[in-house]
Amino acid sequence: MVDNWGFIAVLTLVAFTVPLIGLALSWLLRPHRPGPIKQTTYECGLETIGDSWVQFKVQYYLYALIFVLFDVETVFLYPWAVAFLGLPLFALVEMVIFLGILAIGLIYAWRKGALEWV
Amino acid sequence: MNPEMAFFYAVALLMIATAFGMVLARDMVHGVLFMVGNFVLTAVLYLLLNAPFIAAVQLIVYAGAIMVLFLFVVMLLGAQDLSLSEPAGGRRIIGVAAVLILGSLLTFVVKEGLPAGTAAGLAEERLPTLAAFGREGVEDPQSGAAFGSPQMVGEALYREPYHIVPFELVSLLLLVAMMGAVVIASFGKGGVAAAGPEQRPGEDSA
Amino acid sequence: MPHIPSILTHFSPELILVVGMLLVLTYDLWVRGREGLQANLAIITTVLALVATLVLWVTMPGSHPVFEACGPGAKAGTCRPGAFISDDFTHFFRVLGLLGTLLVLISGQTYMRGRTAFKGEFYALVLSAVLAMNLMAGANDLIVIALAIEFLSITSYILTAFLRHDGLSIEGGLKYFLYGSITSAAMLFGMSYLLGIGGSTSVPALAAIARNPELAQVQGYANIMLPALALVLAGIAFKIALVPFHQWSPDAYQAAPTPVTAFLSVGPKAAGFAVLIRLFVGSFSSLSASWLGTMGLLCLLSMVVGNVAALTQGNVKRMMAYSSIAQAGYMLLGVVSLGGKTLMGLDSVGAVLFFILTYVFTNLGAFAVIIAVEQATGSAELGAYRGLMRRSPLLAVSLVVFFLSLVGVPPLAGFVAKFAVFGAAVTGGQVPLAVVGVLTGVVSVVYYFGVVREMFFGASEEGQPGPIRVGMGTTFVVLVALLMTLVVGLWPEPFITLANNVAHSIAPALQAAGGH
Repeated sequence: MVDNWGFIAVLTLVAFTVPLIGLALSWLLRPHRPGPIKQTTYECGLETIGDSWVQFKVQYYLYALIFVLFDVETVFLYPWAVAFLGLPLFALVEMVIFLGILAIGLIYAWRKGALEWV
Repeated sequence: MNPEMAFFYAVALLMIATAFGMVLARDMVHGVLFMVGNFVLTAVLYLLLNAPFIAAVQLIVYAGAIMVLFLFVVMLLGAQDLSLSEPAGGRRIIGVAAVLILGSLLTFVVKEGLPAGTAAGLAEERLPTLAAFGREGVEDPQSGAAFGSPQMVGEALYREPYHIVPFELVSLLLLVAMMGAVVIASFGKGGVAAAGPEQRPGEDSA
Repeated sequence: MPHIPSILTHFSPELILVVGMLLVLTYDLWVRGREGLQANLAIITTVLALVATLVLWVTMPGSHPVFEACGPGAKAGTCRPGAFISDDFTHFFRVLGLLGTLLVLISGQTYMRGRTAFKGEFYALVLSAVLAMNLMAGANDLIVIALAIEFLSITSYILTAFLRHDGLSIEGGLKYFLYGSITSAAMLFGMSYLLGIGGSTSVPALAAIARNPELAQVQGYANIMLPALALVLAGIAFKIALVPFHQWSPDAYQAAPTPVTAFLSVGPKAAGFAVLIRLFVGSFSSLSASWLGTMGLLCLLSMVVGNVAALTQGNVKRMMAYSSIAQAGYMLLGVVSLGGKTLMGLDSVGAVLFFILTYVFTNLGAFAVIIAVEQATGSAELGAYRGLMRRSPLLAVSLVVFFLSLVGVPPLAGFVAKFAVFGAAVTGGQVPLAVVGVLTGVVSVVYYFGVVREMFFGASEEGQPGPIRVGMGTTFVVLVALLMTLVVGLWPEPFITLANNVAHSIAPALQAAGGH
């Protein structure tokens, strides 16, 4: 048990170190010539207008909600998948029904235009 | 102090720091981001307690779903308008009082401990009993899955047909929530909203 | 798979509702050219589920646990008793819920037609709500109870706020939601303690622990069951709208589309009582000494606050909200009169069931009239009822009959029901509550009469409005409700026998103890 977490700890450490090494190296190697242009926000070569923290449209809430729906779905899929080999056949049927109902929900939201970008 | 304790204290200190950051942030979006940090650290705490499934749920549901909803609400209402809102005033006193009461209760419980012979959840030897939780009658987990692991949760949930109703009901509940969002939250033109403002009574044939 | 036949038979009404609900929701995806028939599809689904229930009730009486946990690894005799139980008690509440919904669908069809474009969603939500009520009626596990209540709550919030272009509707839905989420949290908190002590969510397992604390997984904490049950009671009391968990109900009742109000006043209340009786009377009766006092208080407050607050309401939907709070108080009076015996050997639980039966028909009848009046006048204010006697004698006279039955005037159904409940209260040792019940019943005459006076004696200033055309659906519902109110009042014996049989199926232990 502890060994497994040890692996994860080492992996986390490596994951943090690799980009840090990259950044440190480029900081050491790059030429140092600051200028006002370099301080501006990069947005596809265009000047940004206004603040990026603007009020969102209420429709976006639907995206958030649909995301939450499928997010919660993974909570149920995860233990099911891990235990799958030890489970009887009806567990598969159960999950198919579960996903089927959510798929109907997705089709419904789609057809109602809730997923349209406005 | 063994390394595990040292790790715990590091996580605990960071959690307290992020909690303060969340409360004290002058900008709502920063507050929400501190909260994400707090949620992730809570998941680490669950891992330390040997509850990997709860840790995963904490990450997926709280740091994922709940957080997205928080951010959306903040952005919907406009982050600027929410920041620096009216002074807390009397609510601050109530808040401090609530914190003090909860803090003293927790201190009391931790200092006194649970009455002798009853600290079931804490005692090591009770763990096998707790592992049987939710699956009495099943002799012995054939898989030998550890208590609190996703595998054990999966077996408890799906091996018997016992939990079919609540399980499928969850998907229906999510479907109903989606209907509610479409009916109540869709405004404006296009798509959903084309169904928008109401028809005249008796306009359609039945 | 030995479970599948059992699920397909004893769970068939619920399966029919799920399939019907999905079909209604996706109706406009697979039907071309025949728009707007979602209401008919919903009615057909309800009728099919009703027929399935009746067939089950008649052909397979007795208790049938569904979704048992007896896997290959299980030791003999250690099966968990099933997350859902299909017994006479479940059938009774299934039939009431489905019949009530059917009447609401029929009387509310034309009302909803002009007011929303989301037809599929509306009828799918109504079917979801019935499904949740059925599940509450047969739930035998805390998780099923919690999820079914939550499912019913969420559908109710959406239905209340359904007319989203109406600010009032949204406001009512939001208030309902805020109260509801807090009581749900309290209820789940209480359930988490029950699970922690018992190590199981199964209601029979927990009931066994309540009888014998030695069985608990965690020793020495059996007393925590009482506050935990109190929290669960709060969650149920919120669904039933018992004082002091009622504040949402006047706002939600007034704001919701009127067919939804009719539904809310009947469905969640009946389902809430199903859970309450199965949980407290059926399973935790060994702790009754502890919960009787709390419930008695809820009962007293509901009868008094409901009837007094109804006096000053100028909106009939709001008035009916308080009136139904008071009626719920009378139902609870029967629950707290454990061991009481009344009419024809009816015991206290039977009296509650009989009361709920009469209440469903009477209240839905009254609401059918309210819907019709609102369609004709566009308002549910008291003034809208002015001169109703001239405009539609059928509606006016029926409403008077329904109100008289709610007051409890012989020979109507409400009289027999009240008589049964008060009788149970007197013999069950709740005499003070029975006295309060009779007195508040007298008070209720005043507010019902306020509406009657407008209908018969109110002179309208702006000339004589023409007669109201009453639709087929409304006429049908009003006549059915009238018929039931009269038949149950004049010939109550078969219904009393029915209620008594159903009560015996839920609390056989009570029958043995009920003699003293």
